[in-house]
Order: sequence, then structure tokens, then C-alpha cells
Amino acid sequence: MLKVGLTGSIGSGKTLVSKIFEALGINVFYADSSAKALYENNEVRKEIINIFGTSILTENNKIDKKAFAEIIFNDKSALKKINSIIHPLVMGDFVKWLMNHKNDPYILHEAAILFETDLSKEFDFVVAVSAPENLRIERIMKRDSVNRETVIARIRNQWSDEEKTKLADFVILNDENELLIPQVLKINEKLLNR
Amino acid sequence: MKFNFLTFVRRNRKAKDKISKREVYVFLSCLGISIIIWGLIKFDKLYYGSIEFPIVYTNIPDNKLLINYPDSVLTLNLQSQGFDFFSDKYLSGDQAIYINIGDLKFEKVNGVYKSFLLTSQISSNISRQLSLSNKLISISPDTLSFVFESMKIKSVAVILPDLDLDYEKQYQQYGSITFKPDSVRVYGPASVIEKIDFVSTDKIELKKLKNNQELSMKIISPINNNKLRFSENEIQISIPVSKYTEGSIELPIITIDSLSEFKIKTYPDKVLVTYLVALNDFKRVNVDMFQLGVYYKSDELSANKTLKVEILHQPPFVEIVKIDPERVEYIIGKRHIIN
Repeated sequence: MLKVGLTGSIGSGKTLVSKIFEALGINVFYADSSAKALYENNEVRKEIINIFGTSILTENNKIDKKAFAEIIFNDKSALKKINSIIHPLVMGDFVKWLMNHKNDPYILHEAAILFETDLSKEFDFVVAVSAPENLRIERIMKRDSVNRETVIARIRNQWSDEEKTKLADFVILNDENELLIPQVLKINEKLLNR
Repeated sequence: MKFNFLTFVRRNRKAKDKISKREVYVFLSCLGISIIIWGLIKFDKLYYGSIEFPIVYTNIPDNKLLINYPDSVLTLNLQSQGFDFFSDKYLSGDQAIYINIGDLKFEKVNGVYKSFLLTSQISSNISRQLSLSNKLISISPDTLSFVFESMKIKSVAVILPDLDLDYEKQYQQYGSITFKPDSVRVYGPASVIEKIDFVSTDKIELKKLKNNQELSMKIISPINNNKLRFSENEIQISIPVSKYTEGSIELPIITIDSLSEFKIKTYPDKVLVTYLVALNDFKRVNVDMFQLGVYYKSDELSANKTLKVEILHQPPFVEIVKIDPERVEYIIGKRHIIN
């Protein structure tokens, strides 16, 4: 079974591409969803409070996701710290998930950051989803109801599209001109024939 | 005593002037008396002459309309003594002759009603009206002709006029433009009435609107005829105007298919709909009021790699300005494979 990483900058359309792969029968592990679920884990919660203090909690003693996102998207060192806690746990979940899909010809692991954390080495291939920066900014502004400056700050905390596409084995361009499905079909065919 | 020639001449000239003035007075007095005597002699003679009087027609039948142009002036030929003639001709002012046409008998010819009146039959009436002290010899013309058309009442629709409305930024029409009455009764010649199906007003041009507009517009007929009368003279038009704001909502795309064994999935499966809505209605908008979908048929699928997202249902009080994306990609597969 091939392990294929699927990555892309914020707003590039990774999830949409993943959904198309799923429609073709490919199972996808969503690292971001797994990470979000981990924030509800008591051990993880304790570690986060240790680093960021109780100001990160809501009145119900839950992690304030909005405030938390604000911190990690604007502070590279904070992001690095949280990644060091979360990513090993996410990879642990991924390994467990893989056990249920060991007979698949290939699986996808969707994550916003693969190259940045060196996780790309864990995969046989990496597919990068790329989109023009302006388009990504517009998408995030609409999706998350945030202003342009906030989106740009988040983008600056990640690797650029150029860096990611340079290192990726396959690139899917999601610029609203190129059709996505033919690009996905082409990659799917190549991966199935490996 | 010394003779002074100059003094002698001056004295003689003054004496002559006094004589000359006296003679002029006598002459003028005689002339005046002569004229008066001449005038009295002249006024005492019999004269023949004509005097013109304007006509005013009265008691025009309510259900009929005069469509020809009968004579508007009667010429009376008179015989009288000079003084009477003079007073009738020059001292009667703008006195008019009133002619009652309410009792005329009509004959229907080719859809119109014709009648006539012999002026000799109304000569005594005219003499009475004018208090003529003269002898009325004859009247010209001898016959007054009348052509009437029957009047008709019809109810016709009122339609909105052409509108050229321009709004301030962020302002738009809010709901329907209403007007009242929606119909009026038109009264006029039958031949004209039959051609009228509706009435309206002049074109309305309003710029930079930002408030509700209540207008009173004069009714105009599509046929120009000064005999037409309307039951209402004006139409009240209400143009509701409200401030609008932009909202956006993410909506799932539903698929309307004709292929029972296949299922289609669109990518993305949601679209962002941007709409304009009046501030008053902003809080009323919710997801359940919209429905967007894609239609697909087997023959279209091979031709199109994307499907257009159609608005299947939307609240009447919003205007959808953008669907993002407008077209979506799709995968078609057997129902048991595609979830």
C-alpha cells in the first residue's frame, strides 16, 4: 500500500481535492480533523495550558479555538511548540487508522503542513494543491469571516506554494480555471499503476 | 403831439385780433347746431343694415356630443330708424344669442345624429333676448346644422407608465410599485372610447432615490381628444424604497437527476451565495429559504465538464447577486458506489 501525503497552503482547496479522491474510492486521513479532536483530550489540554496559560480557556474551561488559532497562526514559536505536542499524537492516530486500510492500493493523508515538519519523509508520494495567493486570501476571508490582514498573517506562517510545489511529486492547480477532476483522475491513475 | 407809427400799428393789430376770435366762435356754434340738426334728420330716417351676434348653444344633450362646427355667429338683418340702429349696432356690447338645442329632433345617419334648426323659427326669441327695438327682417344663415355623436362610458385599466428610476448607492426598490385606482371610467365619443384599452401617465424619471415616493400623476389618454373625460384625473403611485445590505450564505447543492441508477456528486458540494436584502428583512433570511441545485441529463453530461448551479428557490425579498462558484465539477457513478 502506498502512503500519499496531500498538502497545500491554507485556502488552496485541499479538502475539496480530498473529497474527489474519496469519490474515486480512496480513503483519506484528515490530519487537521484529528488534531482538532485531540484538543478535547485532557492530556493535550493540560500541556496547552502549561504553555499558553489559562487565558486560552473559555468560561466552560474548554480551549478557546478562536483565541488559540490567533496565537498559533501569528506566532511561529508558539506554532512550533504546539506542533511538537500535537503532531506525534496525530501520527499515532494515523498509524492506527492505517491498520484499517492496509489492503487499499493507496491512501491519502491530508495535512496543511507536511514539508514544514519533515513529515513528508513518511510518505511515498506527496501531492500539493496550489492556488494563486489572491484567490486563497479571498476564500479564507469568506470561509472564516476574517479580514485580509489576518489571512495574510496566517499565510506568512506557512511555506509558500512555490516551495511546496517544488518538493511535491504531483501538483494540482486549483485556480478556478483548470478543472480539478481531470487532474485528480490523472494522478489517481498513476498511483494505481505504481 | 408826436405821431408814433409803431404804436399805431400795434393798436390796430389788437383790435383786429378781437374781431377775428369772435367770428370763429360764431362760426363754430353755427356748425355745431347744423351738425345736430343734420344728425336728427338722419336718425329720423329708416335704415337697413346687418349686425353680427355670437351664438351660445345651450342644453346640449348629456348623452350626445356635438362633433361638427355649427355657425358661431348669426347675422341679423334689421330695418329701423337711425338712432335705434346706431344703439343696436354700437351700444349692444358683446351680447350673445343663446340658442337652446335641447329640444332638437335627431335623425341617425351612419352612426351619427343629425339635426337642423331654421333660424326664422327662433327670430321672435332672438328679438326678445336682444330687446331689439328694430324690425328684424331676416337672419343669416337661415339654417343651423348639427351633427352629434353618442357619448359612451367605459371602464379601462390603468397601467404603470415607463419608469426611469435611479437610486442612491445601497438603496433599491423595496417590493412592488403600487398604484390606485387600477381602473378609471372614460367618458367620451363612442368612436374614440372604443379605441381606448388603457390609460397611463407621463414617463416618471426620478434620480438618486433614497426614500419612499408617493406621486400624483395626471392621467393621459393614449388618444388625444379634448372631448374625453375621466372619472379620476390623477393616479396615486407608491414607489417603496429601502436601504439594502449585502449578505452571504453557504448552501449545499442538490442534484436533480433523471438517471435513477446513477448518482452525481458535485465538487464543491456547497456554494457561497451573495445576496442583497433590505435592512428590514436582513434578520428574516435563513438557509432553509434557499435551494440551489444542478440539473443533469445523460445527453448533457458528455457535452459539459461542469454543471451550472441553478437557483431553485429563493425568498422573494432577496436578490441573488453572485453564486460562487457558478459552475461545479461533478463525478457520476452508480448509486451504491458514490455516497
